[in-house]
Amino acid sequence: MSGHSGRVNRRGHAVDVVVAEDGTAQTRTGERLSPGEFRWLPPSTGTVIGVALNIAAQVKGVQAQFHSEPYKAPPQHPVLFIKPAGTLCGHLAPVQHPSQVRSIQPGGALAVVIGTRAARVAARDAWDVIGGYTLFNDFQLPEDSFFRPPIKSKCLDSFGPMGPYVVPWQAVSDPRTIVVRTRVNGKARQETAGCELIHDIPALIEHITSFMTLSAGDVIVPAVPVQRIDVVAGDTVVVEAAGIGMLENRIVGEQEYYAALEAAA
Amino acid sequence: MKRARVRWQGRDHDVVVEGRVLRTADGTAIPPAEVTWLPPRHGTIIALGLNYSDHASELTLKAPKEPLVFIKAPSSLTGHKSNCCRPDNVDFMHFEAELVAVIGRPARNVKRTDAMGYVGGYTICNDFAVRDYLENYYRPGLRVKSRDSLSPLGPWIVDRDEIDDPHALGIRTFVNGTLRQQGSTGDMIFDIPHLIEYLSGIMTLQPGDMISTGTPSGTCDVRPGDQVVVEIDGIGVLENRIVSEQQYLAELAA
Repeated sequence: MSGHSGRVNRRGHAVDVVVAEDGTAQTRTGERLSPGEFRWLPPSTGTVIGVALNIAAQVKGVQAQFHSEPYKAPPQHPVLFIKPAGTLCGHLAPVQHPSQVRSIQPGGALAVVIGTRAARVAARDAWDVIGGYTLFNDFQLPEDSFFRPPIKSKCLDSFGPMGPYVVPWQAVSDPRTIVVRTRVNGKARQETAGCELIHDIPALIEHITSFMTLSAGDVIVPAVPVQRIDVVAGDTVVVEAAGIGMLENRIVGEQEYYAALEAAA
Repeated sequence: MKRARVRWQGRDHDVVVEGRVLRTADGTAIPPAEVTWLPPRHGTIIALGLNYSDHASELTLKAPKEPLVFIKAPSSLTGHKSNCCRPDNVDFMHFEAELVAVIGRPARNVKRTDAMGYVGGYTICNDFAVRDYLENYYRPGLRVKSRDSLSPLGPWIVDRDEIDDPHALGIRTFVNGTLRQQGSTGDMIFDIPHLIEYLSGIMTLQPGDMISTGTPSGTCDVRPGDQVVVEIDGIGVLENRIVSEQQYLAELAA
């Protein structure tokens, strides 16, 4: 079994690393990195596609509105959205709390990392195109409408922590048994099980690749939470799943977030 | 200058358009007839819906009070002269001629009055849509707007300073030589400075990110075999051909 693959920023350069069981990271050439000398980057740089309204138990709570305006009918197909490059950040990276809102909402989720070019893949072949798994946190501003693409709520800088690393598919016996837990300041706040999906992972891969070609490194987030919890600047959010890892991010005020970016540049 | 990206003799090249040749960085002159045109940039692609009031009323929709924005995956991009796949068994796939503003430097919380300083150049997008696949969730969804081969972009990026006023450009689409869509970029509901202010208030725009600014009225169904040409004054001509799904898949396999 190959090790977990990650990407880090070391002295201003993006470096691919292999992460061992004990959490130590080394470069592809075998050089060991000490904990203080790097920052985690998102382990993948491809397109990130999230799937909304895909957790059966949670959709029940919002579906009463789906027969009225503006929806008129419940969704017939997976409800997809893109987290653009600017949202993506790594393990331990700060996430901004914009000054104009009271709170922001994490969305702890398992992420499927595509391992090969994938076009027109049938569901029965879908497992073959998966390279591995990681964790994703689909941050958003509170929103109550699913009518228009969620640009204003989900596409803010830093709103897509991912990582810490990709666990190869061989190390994950069945992603449907994986339970993703979200903790805020150490306290368990949300739990999602992979078996609760309306469209399961193979069905999503079949649907998406029926119209768009996925490449190695593209990411599908099959189930972002429908019901949300609120967090504010100062909170620490941890998303974890047994066998996949632990993705931790601290929420900071908007000004602090951008000041730190400028200082680092 | 006009900057393009092309594949020639098995390699990708950044070129500058000089009269009738394409010039590489090392000075090689490439005849345009020998190249495969690639999309000139690959940043985040932000597109506008209903940004010309005549197009909104054509779809019997009210013009929006704030920009209707969606994001397209880079996998949907294709170049000038490429084939565009019309899915089998759909009733209505239409073209959308759009002026694209390409961002030239990082932009965050930019005011309208300063916004044009963040534009690096302009190109053309034909933002095809398959209306059969519209659903009222995150509308328009990826299945409508982010399909392989259905976001032709190019042929090149024209530097900002070569366009005096990007809001006074004629924009037209011809299908098989017949004029089907005609408008002026002056009729955008939210103009480029407004869009940069709006978007940079949400996210940091990076060099190479693209804002596809919406389409005027006159969209219509296109069928396999149709040649679709989008023309914007001062920018260029973006030409593509519609093929059936069967032909598209056969060409991919070949």
